[in-house]
Amino acid sequence: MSKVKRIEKHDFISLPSYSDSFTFTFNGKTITANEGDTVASAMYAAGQQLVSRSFKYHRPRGLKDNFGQGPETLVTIDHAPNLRADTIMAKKGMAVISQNHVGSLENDLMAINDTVIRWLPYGFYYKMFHKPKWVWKIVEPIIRKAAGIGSIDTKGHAVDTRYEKRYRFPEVCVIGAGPAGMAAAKGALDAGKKVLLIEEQANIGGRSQHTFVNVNGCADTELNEISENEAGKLLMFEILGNPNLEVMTLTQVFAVYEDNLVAAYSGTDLFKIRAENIVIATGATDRHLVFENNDKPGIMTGRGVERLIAMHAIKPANEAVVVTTHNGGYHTAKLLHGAGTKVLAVVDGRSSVSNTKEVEEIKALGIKVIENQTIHKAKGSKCVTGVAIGSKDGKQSGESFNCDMLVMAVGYKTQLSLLAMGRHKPAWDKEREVLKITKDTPNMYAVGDINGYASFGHLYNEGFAVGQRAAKGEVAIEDSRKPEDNIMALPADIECGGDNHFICPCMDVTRNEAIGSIAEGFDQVETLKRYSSMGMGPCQGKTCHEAVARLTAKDTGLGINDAAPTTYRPPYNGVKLGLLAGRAPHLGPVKRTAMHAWHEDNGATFLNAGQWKRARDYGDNLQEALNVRNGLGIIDVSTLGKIEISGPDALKFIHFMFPGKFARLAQGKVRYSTMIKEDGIIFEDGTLAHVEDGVYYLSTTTGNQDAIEGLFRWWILTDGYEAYIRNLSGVNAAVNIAGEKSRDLMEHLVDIDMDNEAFPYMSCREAEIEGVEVMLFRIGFTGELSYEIHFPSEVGESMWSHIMAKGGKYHIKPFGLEAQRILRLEKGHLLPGVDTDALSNPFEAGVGFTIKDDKENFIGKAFLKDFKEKGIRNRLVSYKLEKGAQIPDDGVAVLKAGEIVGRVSSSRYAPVFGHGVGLAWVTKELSEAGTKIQIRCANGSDVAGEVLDHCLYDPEGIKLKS
Amino acid sequence: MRLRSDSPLNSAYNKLQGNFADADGWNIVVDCGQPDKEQKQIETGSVLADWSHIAKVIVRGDDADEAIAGLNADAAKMEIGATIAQKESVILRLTSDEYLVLSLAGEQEEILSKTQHAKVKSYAVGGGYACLVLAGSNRNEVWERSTAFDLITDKIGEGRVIQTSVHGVHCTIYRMAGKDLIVCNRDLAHFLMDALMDVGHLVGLMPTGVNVVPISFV
Repeated sequence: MSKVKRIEKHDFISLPSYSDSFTFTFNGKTITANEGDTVASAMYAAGQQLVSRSFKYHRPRGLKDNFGQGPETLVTIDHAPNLRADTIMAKKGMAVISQNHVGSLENDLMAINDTVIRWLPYGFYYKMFHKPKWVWKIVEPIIRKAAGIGSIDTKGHAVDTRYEKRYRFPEVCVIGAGPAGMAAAKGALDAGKKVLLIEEQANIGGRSQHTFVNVNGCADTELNEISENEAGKLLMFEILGNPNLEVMTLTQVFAVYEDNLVAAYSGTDLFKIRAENIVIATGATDRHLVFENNDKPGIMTGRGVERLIAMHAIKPANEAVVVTTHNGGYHTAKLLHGAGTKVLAVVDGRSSVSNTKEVEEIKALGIKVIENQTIHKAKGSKCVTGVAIGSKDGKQSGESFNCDMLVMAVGYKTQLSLLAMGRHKPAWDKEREVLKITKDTPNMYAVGDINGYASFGHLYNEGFAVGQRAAKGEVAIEDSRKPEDNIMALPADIECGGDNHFICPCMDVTRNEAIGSIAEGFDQVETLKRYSSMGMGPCQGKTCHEAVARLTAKDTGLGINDAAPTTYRPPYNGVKLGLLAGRAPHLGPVKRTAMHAWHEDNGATFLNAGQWKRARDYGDNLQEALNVRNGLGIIDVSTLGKIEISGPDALKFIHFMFPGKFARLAQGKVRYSTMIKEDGIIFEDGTLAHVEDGVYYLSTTTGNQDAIEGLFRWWILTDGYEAYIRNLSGVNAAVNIAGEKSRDLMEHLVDIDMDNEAFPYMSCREAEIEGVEVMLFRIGFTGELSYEIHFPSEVGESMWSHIMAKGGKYHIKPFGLEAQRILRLEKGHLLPGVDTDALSNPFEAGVGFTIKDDKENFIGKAFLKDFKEKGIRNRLVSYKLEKGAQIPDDGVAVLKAGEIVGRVSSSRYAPVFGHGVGLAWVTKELSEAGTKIQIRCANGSDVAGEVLDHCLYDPEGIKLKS
Repeated sequence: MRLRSDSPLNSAYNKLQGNFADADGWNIVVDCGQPDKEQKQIETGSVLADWSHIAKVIVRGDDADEAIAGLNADAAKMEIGATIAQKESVILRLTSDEYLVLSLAGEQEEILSKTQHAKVKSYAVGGGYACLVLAGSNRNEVWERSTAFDLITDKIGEGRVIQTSVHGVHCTIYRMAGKDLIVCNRDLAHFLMDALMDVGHLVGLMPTGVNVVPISFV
């Protein structure tokens, strides 16, 4: 391949001129690239024909279609594996590395597979090494290691890659910017619509970028009688000037979902496109023909070769043979000739073509034309060194040629994936010999070569008409392709002998392997595909889907529509998981309290409580707990839900929503309550305060506030209560001041009587702190004398600082959630959702006192009655551990005589006692105070515990009430 | 003297070198140290300002139409998503029975008094909501990276209000000439600002304050 080179002039066409060149490396070798080069084109221009090794047999592979369809160009670029070198624009300094070989790319030790595996039965990994069983344990990792292609970047080189998620809302989205796509865009633009035109390649124009036949029959007469290349450029310039058009190049659409959601990516940006109408103009690509050694480097498609010449100014080979079935092959031969490649012959599968203009033109260039024959075999070891041709049925041999390139221009296969995408199965069009989607999808249109090959003029006319219809949401037009545009299909496999007829180049599946698999009973396309892996490789059938359908039909006797590939599903191409994940900071909203900055500035560590960031501790949660027990602590409880209930039916509504009775809850009083689901299960607890006449203020747990508000609104709406709900959770911030000195501090903060008789336990008062109206609640989750202060969020930080300043005299210290959890366990208070689960009824959880089932209907009443009648079977109990005993994790098992009899729901070390405490679910028999239980820690060791009557800390509640 | 009120975005603006000033008892960011550059950014890029100190009153209930009439007789005639704006206040019709009234800081008591009704819960949200303003010619670059809702074409025009999710945060968005007002829950405001700045700073979004984007609801 040293004779490959850049060319500065071409005999027939103008070549692109690139001023800027730069270098990158491939396996450490310096590659010079021009501006506009793909990685693959630059490598090819540098003589690097060998790009990769095949999946199973490690056969050499090289550039084939120069379009990114097949597996041949998969490489690792800058640590990112499995990128298609012919779709990635070359950049200065890139480090490109080949994949899937042991030793060098050129001398791959695993190439021995090409010999060894041939001696193994098809699907050997299903059949061999399974007996005795231990053999598979040894062999499996070896096979797994040998399989696969690229390697994941486990060292995290790309960890800083920034992935964006972006949105578009076009009225018409055109996917594919070839002649038909551009014309469709023009049609929609002319109708005044906003159009998004997406192209996966670097430039728009599609095939017109490398096609130079003259245009005729185009409705836009200015495009007639000039070359398709010129017409494409004119069309491009015309639409690019329209302000309603947005063009996205180098953008890969990988899915079209319901409701016209188009998913695409460009670089590291993921685009979610909501289009009113979608025009799919993904075109067609050169057919994959199966013959002996059809995978060798040096075998390229017609359009692949044309791209190298016309778009990258490369002379593709020294000597070439072109195999074709249509006039496009002659166009390719002419471009090759003009680029300096000696075309030894054009081998045409058709007969009686010698009097056509294209043939005469080629003959005039001194190129031999051979009719009614085709390729039989490619020769060579690591690349093509010659070809043998013969009859189309493979039975009669013909001439042989020594050459370094074989060009396959044998028609086109339609690119149906995005059009089908889980909606429709392709069907075989006998007339045109292509697979097609025959069913329509509302607001989705197919134009261009995806409907079968057609001339530029036809594509323009079809595209423009469809674009206009898409603009109005009208039904698609009927296809009007002419019979002369049909391209005959050669037999899908040229059966001339040999073992290397590759149907699926991704998975290295040969015709013989497919036939052998069918003989073993895998004679339906679904089972055959799974057994042989045909169509399951990196290209997901884009290369082989037509060949698989035709050959499976032939070898199984199925109709071709029954043998057609299975459902096309997203993604169309490989998509980086980072693209789907997006920016990590945005994965989930984070709630912060009004005092969050203070906590942050004062060394708090945070934990997630639902969406909230709560201060877990300020460095020493045990000391924080002791501060509360021995002095004064303050905790930010702004995350609690705060819901106001008012209106004429407020009390009636509360009686329905809550299991208790509240008619006697006097103004200024607070009551603890649970909340019960319809099935009688406890899901929430909190305090309900009667703050004003007919106005109630509910404090809920952090995690349930939104759900409770929604529940309230639902029942008000459905049962017609005249009650009003205000969710003040964000409006009000809150702190809890706890400890025996809390009253002393409160007396300095507020101007109301804080005496125990004037402001007793479980009551609430309005007050004012520094000009701010606040609500005070005397409640005590920690078991200490404590006051909860609720105030407007906007003064949160200044209120906290004010309290801290006033509390300095009493050595007030902040405490975090972890200390609070220790304190509440010492006091034996449960946390719904932590100490209860989806089976916990309030009687067993020890909060049966909140249930007043002698009142009228309320949520959960029927089941609660049932629970009550059935009696207690398990109970949530407080327990203590011996001093020095290991502290079990939450959730570990409780045992008695070696049998599991319950589980620990919460467990902590209690610094005030110097041993562990917790809550555990145990059977009723074990719930009596003094019962000894055994708790199995996560490390397997057992610790002894003792069930408590109520709780360990201040069981009489004297501290709370005094 | 009443304790100082803080915007939920103040800590974020502190990290962005924000300059603060008092506005009706609120400590609010006025600029981020480069007022001229921030002003110019409105023309060439986009800016994010904080109006969290403005008055915010919700009027909600079956008879909300009657209550809102106390403020503006034509308000109840609006369709959902429409607004009535003056320079110093705006009435946003959110649903059939809910309005959000925004006004200059300190005006909430007057709004409440005018919207009192026996069967309607009018209440000042005050510090419960944050208000961010995304302004500038290039703000679509931020929107297209922030919400699945179409705010980048002209489907939701000036003077309209919509409720949608921005970076996963439920927001009320009021569109004005050259700027969009984003109202969200206070506790999520810091996150929302972080997210907007994160996607926006690479496409020309700068933080700024109320001196650069003065309060005006038209």
